[in-house]
Amino acid sequence: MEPTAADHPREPERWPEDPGAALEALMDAYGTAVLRLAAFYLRDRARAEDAAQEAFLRAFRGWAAFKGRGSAKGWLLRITANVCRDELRRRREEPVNRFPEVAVESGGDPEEAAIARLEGARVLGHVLALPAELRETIFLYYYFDLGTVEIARTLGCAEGTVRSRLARGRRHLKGALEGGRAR
Amino acid sequence: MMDREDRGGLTEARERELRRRLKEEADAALFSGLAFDAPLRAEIRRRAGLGRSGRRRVPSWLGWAAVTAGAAAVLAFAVAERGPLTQPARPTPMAAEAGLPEAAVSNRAAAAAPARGGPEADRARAEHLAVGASTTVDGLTLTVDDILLTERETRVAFRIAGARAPASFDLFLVVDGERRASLDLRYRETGGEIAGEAVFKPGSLPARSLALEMRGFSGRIEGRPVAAAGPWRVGIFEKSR
Repeated sequence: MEPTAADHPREPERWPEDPGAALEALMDAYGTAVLRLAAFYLRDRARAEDAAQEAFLRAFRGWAAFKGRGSAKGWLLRITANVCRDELRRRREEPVNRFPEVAVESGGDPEEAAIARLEGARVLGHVLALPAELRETIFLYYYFDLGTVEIARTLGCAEGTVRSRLARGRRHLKGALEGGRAR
Repeated sequence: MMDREDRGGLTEARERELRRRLKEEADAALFSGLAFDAPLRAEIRRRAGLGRSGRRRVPSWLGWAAVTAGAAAVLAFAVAERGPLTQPARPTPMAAEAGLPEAAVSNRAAAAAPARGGPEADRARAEHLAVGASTTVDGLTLTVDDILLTERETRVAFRIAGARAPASFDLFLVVDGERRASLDLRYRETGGEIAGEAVFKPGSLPARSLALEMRGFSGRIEGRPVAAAGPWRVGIFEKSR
């Protein structure tokens, strides 16, 4: 598998103190991850880009308080998740089990293209079919490589809840990995 | 991460497989084509009020700001055909270094090119230009913010001042006089204008002249409906012998 930008971020050895320089470094290291997390929540390219903008602006404004202490990735993705969840709440939208349009391409029907891309993506299909709270946890843990503590802080729940959700999610996905039906 | 915990019946090997396949399948199916691109970065910088004191980049919208303020110096080159008023950004020593005499290459290119990473940096012979050149026809201004030239593809970040989504238009890259249609065209409304990115293939290296052309705009500009044929042609560079 080709490594993704999220796997190998260009994270500096030491984060700059200046918020402007930090913003550049954060965009270099985690721009793709932030945009993908926003797309995961909002399932729409334009809205994901708006959310990514807002997340980086909040990080820029809050950099003086954060100052690179702790995991910048966890902090930034937590901001991004909060921006997206606020957006969903504002629109009174509930997470749904499909991605009608994430990557918009010129020509053709974006929904058909998305469905076509999903064909053959068996593990992903099972993950997307999970209940919202399991799907979110599984994605944050396995795709975005956040730890259970970071996920708990992101979702505003206890770490034990995260572990429990991960265990339930794994049980659901065991069948998909073994070639059978997911339970 | 976590070792002693309920793996839901998964072995460690299965769990590694789950992580690998989820990333692989999500990248291919969900996030394909989703890029943290130049217009998005530029918009974040603009909203953060950065630009003049950025760590290493002078954002491309500075070129646009200079043009709109009427403060841009006029270069000697003009790829534009009759009619449009072309206002390229000021020249810099980078123009000569890039082998593009009198091309509109901003300081940003000099600063950003060595620092760029990721897949773009891996592309052989990539030339990263930021131009800020624009053209105005029928009250509609098309600006070229940023260009990445490679042998495989050419990516152009552009803006249409005052335009609101939705809008329809065609973009072409004119390479050595030959017009190519965009293979991928994306835009969004942001800050009261349309900003987007167009991808053209094959790439444009080597090329002696390059221009971006827009035709058939239909949409709203500053709230009023506009339907105009154009063309709007922005000269990007023209090499002299």
